[in-house]
Amino acid sequence: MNEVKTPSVDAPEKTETVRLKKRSYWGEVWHRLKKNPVSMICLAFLAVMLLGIIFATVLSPYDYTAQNLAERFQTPSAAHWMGTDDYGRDLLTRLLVGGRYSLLIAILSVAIGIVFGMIIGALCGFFGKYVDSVLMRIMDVIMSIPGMMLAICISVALGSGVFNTALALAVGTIPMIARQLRSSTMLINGQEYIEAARSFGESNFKIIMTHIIPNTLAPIIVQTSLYIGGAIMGIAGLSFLGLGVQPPTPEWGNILNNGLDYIYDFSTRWHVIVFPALFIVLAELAFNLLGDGLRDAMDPRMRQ
Amino acid sequence: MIKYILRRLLLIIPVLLGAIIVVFTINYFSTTDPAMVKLGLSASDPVKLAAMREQMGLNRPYIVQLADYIWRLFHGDLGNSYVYAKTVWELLAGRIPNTLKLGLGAMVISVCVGIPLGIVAALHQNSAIDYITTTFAVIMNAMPGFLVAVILMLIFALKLGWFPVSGAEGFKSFVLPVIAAGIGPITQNARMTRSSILEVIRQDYVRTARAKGIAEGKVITKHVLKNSLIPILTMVGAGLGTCLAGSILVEMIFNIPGMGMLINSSIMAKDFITVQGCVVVCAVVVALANLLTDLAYAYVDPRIKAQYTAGSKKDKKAAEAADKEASAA
Amino acid sequence: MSLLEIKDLTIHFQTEDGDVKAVNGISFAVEQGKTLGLVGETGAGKTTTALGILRLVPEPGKILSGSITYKDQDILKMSEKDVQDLRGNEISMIFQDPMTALNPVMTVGDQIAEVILRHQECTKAEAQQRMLEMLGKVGISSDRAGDYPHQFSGGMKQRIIIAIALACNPKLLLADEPTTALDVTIQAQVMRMVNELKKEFGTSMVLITHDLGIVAESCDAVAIMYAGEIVEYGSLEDIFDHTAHPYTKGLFGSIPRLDLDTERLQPIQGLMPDPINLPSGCPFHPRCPYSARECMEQNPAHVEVTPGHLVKCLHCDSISQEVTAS
Repeated sequence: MNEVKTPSVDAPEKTETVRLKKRSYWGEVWHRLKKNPVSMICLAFLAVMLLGIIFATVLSPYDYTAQNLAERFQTPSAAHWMGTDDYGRDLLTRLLVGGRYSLLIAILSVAIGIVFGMIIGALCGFFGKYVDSVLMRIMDVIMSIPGMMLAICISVALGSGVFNTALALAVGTIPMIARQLRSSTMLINGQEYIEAARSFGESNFKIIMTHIIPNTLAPIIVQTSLYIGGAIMGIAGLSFLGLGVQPPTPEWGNILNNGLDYIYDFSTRWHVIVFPALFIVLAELAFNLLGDGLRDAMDPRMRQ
Repeated sequence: MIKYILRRLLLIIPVLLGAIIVVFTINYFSTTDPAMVKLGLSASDPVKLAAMREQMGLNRPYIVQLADYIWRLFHGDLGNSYVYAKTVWELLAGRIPNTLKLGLGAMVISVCVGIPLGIVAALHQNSAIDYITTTFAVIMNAMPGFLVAVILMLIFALKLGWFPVSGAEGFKSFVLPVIAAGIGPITQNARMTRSSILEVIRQDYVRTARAKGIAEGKVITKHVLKNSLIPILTMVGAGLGTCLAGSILVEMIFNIPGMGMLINSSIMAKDFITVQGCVVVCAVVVALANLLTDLAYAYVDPRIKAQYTAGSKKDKKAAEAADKEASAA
Repeated sequence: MSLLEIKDLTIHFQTEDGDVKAVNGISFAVEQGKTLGLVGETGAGKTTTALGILRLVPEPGKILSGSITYKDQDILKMSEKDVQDLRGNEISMIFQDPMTALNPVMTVGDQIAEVILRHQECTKAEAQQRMLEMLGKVGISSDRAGDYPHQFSGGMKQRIIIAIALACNPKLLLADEPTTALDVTIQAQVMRMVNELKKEFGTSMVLITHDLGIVAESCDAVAIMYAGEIVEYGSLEDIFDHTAHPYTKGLFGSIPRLDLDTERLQPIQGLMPDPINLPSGCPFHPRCPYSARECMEQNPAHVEVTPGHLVKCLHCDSISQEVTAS
């Protein structure tokens, strides 16, 4: 009898939601994600890259700051897998160490965006009325400024540095997360179990923490991957304008920007452009595709 | 309808004002002292610095400075450059056309190429053309616009020599920059159009249309497209923001004297009031674009139009009342 | 000669998790001018069957075998063009959910006129005329033809859908739970209207429902569906007064009856089986109070208990006697 389930012939996709009961929610998401080869490749790629980034200084025989002007612009070889840059520094080592800064900024900016976005969104969705209209108008205002422009503006005002760059990028994502959270909070707020919690006399704070946030978190967590991808692109853009983390501290964006100075010598110095660009594009691609895969795994009906 | 347009026009004012306040406030708390930038080398003299601060009105309270900035803005004055003996508007005015040409060009191709691409991909779901479009979209979505600009420049300008490497003279020099700034929005539009069509095509009313015996081609043009393109339309206006921001970076690759290059040089010179002016101008352009899309949206979607068209007040309640009447009969 | 005759129709949805066996070898016929009730729980394959008749089974559904003979022609062997000529013209369908079945950006008048223009050789003005006539028939005033679906209530939307379905005087109407989504007060009204229009146009009908009350009122013949199979099939009288299948019996046991002095309702135990993994033998055996060992092993064939009354159960004889006795 344990095979008996709610039938759903008219809408075949529903059978999958029925099956959720077998595993936990996240177990089911993981199960579906495992079946998606693209997501698995992305996950493996990110894991390898992350390990390389963490252990860069252990794995590489080169010092990422050591200049060696005799070995400037060497093309890839057995000694320098990705060649050397304009100061004769090993490019691969610099890219791996640079990844620490790029990913740190990206993750930090998304974390800031999520924390503030969640607080604002939950407040709006939960309290409604004046709180909602005031906060949402402010969010509208921030959204009316193109994201990149806002990041430029904040970056200019705050100056360079890891945290400042992260903050500059985060401000633009706050309204997006807040809006999403607001609508899902409003949806949940209308549910009967919130009514029930209120009828027991639970405090607003406790309801937000125990009911609203956990129930609206899942979709946000999934989007983290997409937001990180977007942040990597934003960092590259800021670096390109000369904002963000300043050399000699390596960071993917500024390494690429540095390489772009030699674009007219592309035939001989191609590696100083191609490799940093590849790191940025592949990392972002992996985060984006993983995000898409996660979204599909969470909602099989979205799959097309 | 006119009421709706007026209402939307009025709504845009607080948003714009808010945007100006946000940008001004960010700059107000800047770690760089404008007086020091203006004085340059002689900033080390504290007397001169204090005098300059006084002269620039930097000692006034925040709210007074803000009000002053907004007041001047309404008179078309974006302030004076810290670095050059010019107003920000003088620096900016000549740059706007190039950036607008680029941004609007990018938006036009993003609509004219992206949406048809999405339609074709959706209608041939899981075919080769669908896979190619989707893969292309995914890759391009992960590419910063300026990188696309670099690649285009390397291939079509430096290697093949089909287009000029830099400058803003004539149509030819805009081809590569427009493609570079537009490719991100193209792929975004294509992706959204595709998923929107696939969403609509599963709707019950499409099945109803098929059950009427309407040929598949007509089902698509009459029922699917209109419904699926309405949500895309809302994104077109927002797309201009992306296009403008993209063109700012692309300009620098192709050396097009637009706002992007101005922003870049102002950042280098710490002439932040000019950066502020550029951001404000962009915010205004984007707000206007959003307004236009909203109006277009209201025009094509009867559900929204009905709320604002005078005369037809047959809302749900009236419908239900009529329903009851019919049941009584 | 029946208007529509379905033989051994099998429709499966091929999903990643396995084949969803929605319709498994069903056969029935609809006589000229008569109404056949297709009864069963949600998920029994009723809607899929109706969509199969119009060849509109959505992806990833496939009609695997069988024949659907309409006026001596097998619909499954027709060209796409010929099927399109049938849809909305000879055979039309009323859909279950009026809230989503109308195009939100097209006026209701245009949506009705569209089907008329498609199938009848007439000018736009004539189609317009006919459209207004249809609106009148379903009780909607003609000045609302220019309104959009969101301006109508559910009951009125269903009237419009009925107007679309009947606009071309179809020979066969497939009504898929036409009243399920409506308020109880509107339900009776809509059903009455459908029956009247059906009489007026001499239309045959397949009425899909899970409401036995509606069946008793409107149908001439009944087919009871369970897990994609027809478990009992016969005239209204056969099914209601000479019930022979335990599932049908269970369905009647789930309805409160005022004329019988029963303490409690007797619902059918358990749930419908997963259409991907149907039970062995008779698909109803896990829920069947008469289940015996042989029910798990063999899927019974149809037995004709009386002429025209088909039952798919190994124990139908004993059950029908029991019913007659009570």
